[in-house]
Amino acid sequence: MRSTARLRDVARLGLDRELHRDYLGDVVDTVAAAMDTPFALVDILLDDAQVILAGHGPVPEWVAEAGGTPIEWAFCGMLLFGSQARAVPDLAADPRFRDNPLVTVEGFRSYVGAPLFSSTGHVLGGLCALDTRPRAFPDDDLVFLAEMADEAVRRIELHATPPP
Amino acid sequence: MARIEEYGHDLPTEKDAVKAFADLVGPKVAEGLWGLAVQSLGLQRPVQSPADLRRVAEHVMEIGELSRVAGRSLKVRIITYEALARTVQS
Repeated sequence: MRSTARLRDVARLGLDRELHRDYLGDVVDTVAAAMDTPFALVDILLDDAQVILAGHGPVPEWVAEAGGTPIEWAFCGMLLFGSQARAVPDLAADPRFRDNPLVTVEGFRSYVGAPLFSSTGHVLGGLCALDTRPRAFPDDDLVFLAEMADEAVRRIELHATPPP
Repeated sequence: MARIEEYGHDLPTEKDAVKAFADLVGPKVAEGLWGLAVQSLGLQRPVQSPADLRRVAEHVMEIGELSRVAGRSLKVRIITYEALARTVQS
């Protein structure tokens, strides 16, 4: 999580900056429509927090205000370990997530996410879809999400904040 | 309505902030840069109020790349606490 090489890559692309990123809106809208989920997000994993670059669906008010959440609540955190698309059909039944307030209080119940790999090979964060009901995601959803994650990174690299 | 205790998220302390910063830039550099940021804002250590911690985080974000990442993380954690305290029951 706190690999300085990975975090320098996050900073190189300016992903920690508080900017509106319209160019990712189509990506999350497409993912939510294709997966039939109420929520889809592009999130970046910092050292102690995740920040949300783009979202589809009504995120909780406090998440919108903070622009993210503490890192320990980031479902996409698991993408740093294993580096492939992953699904959790029932977050409330999974010991890694069942005590997460996004599950216990906010009611998220299922997750599917793919890592955002930078051109230098670091996992920047994830592209994920979330549902408020437990559900399975077939393998072709994981393949689709991985392709969309690559497209999100292509757009991120294209719009990278130039150094001052 | 949810209660803030259900989130289990405490207000970050200065100690938490400097520790997280040190994990990225090393303890001496973190302590030095944090102290300078506090000083240049005219604050006293330990910085305690959420508003002041947020000002220091924003100041630290201007120093360099890893500092910017650490400062943004701290800012998200502080705002999360403040927003939860305001929008859910205490």
